[in-house]
Amino acid sequence: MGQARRLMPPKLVEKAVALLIPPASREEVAGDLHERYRSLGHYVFETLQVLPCVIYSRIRRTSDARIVIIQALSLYLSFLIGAWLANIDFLHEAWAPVRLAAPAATMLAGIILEDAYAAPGLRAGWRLGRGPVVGVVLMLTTAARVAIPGLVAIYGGAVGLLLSSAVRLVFPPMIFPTSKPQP
Amino acid sequence: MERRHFQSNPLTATRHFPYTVVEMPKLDSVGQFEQLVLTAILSLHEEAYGVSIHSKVQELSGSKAISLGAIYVTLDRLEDKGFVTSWLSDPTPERGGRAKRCYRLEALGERALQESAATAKRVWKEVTQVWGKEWVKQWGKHAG
Repeated sequence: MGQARRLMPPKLVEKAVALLIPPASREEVAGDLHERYRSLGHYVFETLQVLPCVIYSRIRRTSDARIVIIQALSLYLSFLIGAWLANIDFLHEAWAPVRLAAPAATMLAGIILEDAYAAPGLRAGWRLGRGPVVGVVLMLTTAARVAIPGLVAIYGGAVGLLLSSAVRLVFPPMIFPTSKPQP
Repeated sequence: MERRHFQSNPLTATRHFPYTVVEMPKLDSVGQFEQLVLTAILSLHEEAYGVSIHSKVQELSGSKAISLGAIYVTLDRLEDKGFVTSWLSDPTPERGGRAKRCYRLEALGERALQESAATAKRVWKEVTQVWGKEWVKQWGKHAG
């Protein structure tokens, strides 16, 4: 008697999905999605439904609202200093204070996402520095950089890197224990 | 009770006293969806993990569609509140060689669920008193 073949997601798709899931939840979420596989369409649809929730939950666990506010203020201040150092005339342009908020917000998003996607076993020193670096790269490679002159973005990014690293040194990123020994 | 993931954060740390501070565990309130998830974990015993909890919650909630993502968010929140604990099981081939995250109800979670059940009982008693036995019969038919 032939055994019914179990439906399984394509390996490549499964690997791509696993990469999108934050490492701290990857094992169980990828396993659950594999177990519930019915068709490729259903798998992709369910992944798109689950992923924002998993990322949101991870951000909630790795970020503290008060520290995020401090980070946001320090980043905005960094771009203000950057504008003052690189091109003070920019500050007199229309909507300049609002335009400075775009790269600061992008950098903050990079830091928050990097914390959410940090592998649980990552060394504390790495965790401190990686967030701001990812934030600067994200800021320089996205449309947020277009909102301000290039030199202001570079100066602001450099000051932001220093200030946000200092903030993270005082308020280290949170680490949540992901697994306990089986009872 | 100190939240485990608040490592050594000066804004959130609670160990700045020269003496030991023992706080009475304060019971966080439990929402309706959290009650469903806690009930599912309670009834599934050792087999409580993402997929099985989702199926049970779906069953308990009736016809309402529940997303798996909502289950994950609620499970994380319940774990942060200290109502449940989790651990990773051994990987299995039917999950593509991946492990399950199993959940267990803790004493605090049991207490919260008991309080919720007691409140629901009081509400039921009051409602049946006001709306009468005829309504109970009608409701029974409707709820199946």
